[in-house]
Amino acid sequence: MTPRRLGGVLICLAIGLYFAILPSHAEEAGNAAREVGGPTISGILVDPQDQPVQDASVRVLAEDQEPVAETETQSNGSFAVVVPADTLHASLTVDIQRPHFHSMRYELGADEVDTLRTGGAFTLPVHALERRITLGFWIAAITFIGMLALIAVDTFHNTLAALVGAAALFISSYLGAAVDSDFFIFDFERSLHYIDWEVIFLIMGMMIVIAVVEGSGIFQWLAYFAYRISRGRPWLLVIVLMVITAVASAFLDNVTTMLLMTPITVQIALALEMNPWPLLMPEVVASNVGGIATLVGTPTNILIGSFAGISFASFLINLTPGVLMALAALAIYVQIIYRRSYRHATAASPELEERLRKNAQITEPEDLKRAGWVGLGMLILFLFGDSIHLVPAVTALLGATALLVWIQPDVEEMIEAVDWTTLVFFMCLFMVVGGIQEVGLIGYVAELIGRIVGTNLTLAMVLITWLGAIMSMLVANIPFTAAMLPVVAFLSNRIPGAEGNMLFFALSVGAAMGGNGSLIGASANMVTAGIAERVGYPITYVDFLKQGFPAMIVTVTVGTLWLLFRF
Amino acid sequence: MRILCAVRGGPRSQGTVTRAVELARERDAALTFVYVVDVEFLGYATAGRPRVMLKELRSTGEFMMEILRNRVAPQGIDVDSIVRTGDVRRQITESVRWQDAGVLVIGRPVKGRGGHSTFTEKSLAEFVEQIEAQTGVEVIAAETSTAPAEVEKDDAVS
Repeated sequence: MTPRRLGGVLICLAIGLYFAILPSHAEEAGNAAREVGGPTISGILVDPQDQPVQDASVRVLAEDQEPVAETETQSNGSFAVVVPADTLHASLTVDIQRPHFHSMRYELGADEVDTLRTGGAFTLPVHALERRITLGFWIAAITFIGMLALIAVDTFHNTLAALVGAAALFISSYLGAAVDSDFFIFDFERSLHYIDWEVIFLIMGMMIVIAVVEGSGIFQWLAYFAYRISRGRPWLLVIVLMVITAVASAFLDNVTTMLLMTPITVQIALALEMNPWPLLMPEVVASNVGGIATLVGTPTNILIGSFAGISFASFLINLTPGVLMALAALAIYVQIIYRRSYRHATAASPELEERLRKNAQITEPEDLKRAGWVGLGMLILFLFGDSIHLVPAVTALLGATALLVWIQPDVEEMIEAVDWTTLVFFMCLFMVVGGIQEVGLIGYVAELIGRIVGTNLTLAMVLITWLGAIMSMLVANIPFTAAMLPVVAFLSNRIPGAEGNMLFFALSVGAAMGGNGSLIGASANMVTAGIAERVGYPITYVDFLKQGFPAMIVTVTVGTLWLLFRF
Repeated sequence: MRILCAVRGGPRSQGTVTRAVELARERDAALTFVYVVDVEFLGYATAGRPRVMLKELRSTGEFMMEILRNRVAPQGIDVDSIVRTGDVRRQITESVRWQDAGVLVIGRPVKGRGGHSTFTEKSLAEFVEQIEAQTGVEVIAAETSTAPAEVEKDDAVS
């Protein structure tokens, strides 16, 4: 199958799955709203973290243990089951079962049955189901850790690692459960509930926007502009490059920004007869930090924003000042550690300067102008769309469509430019993280962190920021962030004063800034190192660590101070 | 006679370039530098945009070649350069044919820290054997400079 066809199939698949899910949401809403008449037993089930338990089987058993009525809990954990009048003889038992929880039974006494007999309703007290550690629990946990390890050691493609993870969960749930029900994790339908389609469509829309913009030469022109206004003085050049990279990364993804900035930066460095890394390292660090400022700046922010319902404007207001402070601290840091390289640089020859100018020309000025107008429109919708319930994913799709209609590039080429492997990675990642959520592992982690921080909001904020930073340095920050979202939600509900999404902002700061700590901490680092290596300037893991880890400490410290000040 | 020198750029190519210049002087030969752009190494990161990346890396390769030419030409050597795109082995082989080169100078695998060499000692030996058989070119594997990059020397974080 050609990539084009594969892309088309995946689009259809994604849209099909999205609409396949819609009726179940509508059904839930309908059930919740429907008035239940006749003798009714209702209740709400929660897990040990007070989160609603969905899809639990609720059966009403007669004296002979034969079921006389049954239902399932809704997304809010509620259930209401109508008991047929002819079965209301003596005693009734409510039997509740859910994989990964201990089953529960509630015996209705004579008075309660009498209430039902008169056509009344009986509501069970809110009940917290106890978790049960099954074989599926261990398989889901090992699968998640294994997926992180495969991504970290880079022996498997990220998408393949996530696919293998999702496949392992299904093998356990279907083949394993056929042998022993303890292997069950979740069924396919349930796994689809964990896929955040808003994230998928937002990333897809932004990829199309980027595909249109990236061929315009704007990045190369901006880098050359930095060279011109700094007059080739490296200490000033690096600051201008950092600002450009940070701003670009706030609106486009970091990998694209660095893919396009690295080649021209290498050329500028070579023209100045200096090693490119004293320019590249500040750029990539600024890229990772700059992305934090907006909802669309990093994949982790997209995950956080979609999960917690944080708007574009909210990210901008709450995190941009911290990002600016961190960039200022970084600017000082790079001036100190690269001072000798900057001092030893020489002026570029007129021939090389001319070559730089030619290489940095805007190739599609008319397209760029149109993209600028569409980008402005998207920014306005991102900022104010929340007031009309316009989700960012729709804004991204509208922007992508507007660009394709107005500029009319080769549509197939643009669609091919969508990185389908990344989208499949996200879908499978959501399933694997859903697996550990389903079996209760995330609940245990949340409980553990909850015990450590108690009700201390400051401690929680500092812990989440630094845990996020350290973990993102060691393992891929996207799966880590995806797994931490329910944990942070739990802590936000439990700790007094944690409203306002402050703990989610702490996760955003930690996860993105932590990526600066090591070569494998962020995809942008790997891409930059890959290009630099290809032009003869490789960097080792240890050398990156020597320069990146202090940068991480500096930025995370500044980020933490900002969060503590802001909240 | 023409000498073809395959380079990757950076300080580690210095040894290869020096050897090629020495040979060109000794044999009174013209020298052609060849740089091959290969984006396969970027893997999934460029899945959707190989066209743009190829253009950018090609432009960077041409820039590096211009710097090399500017350095070597003042030494009285007839020098030019080519930038090719695709699989490194195939592109070097085709360059030897197209340029009708009599000698190919290529860097040995890097022994120092950092980065992955295009060749291992074993794969280089195989490649040399193969290209000699296919084109009849004389292949000289030059020692790669193991000096660390300037950034490590000048700005090591203590």
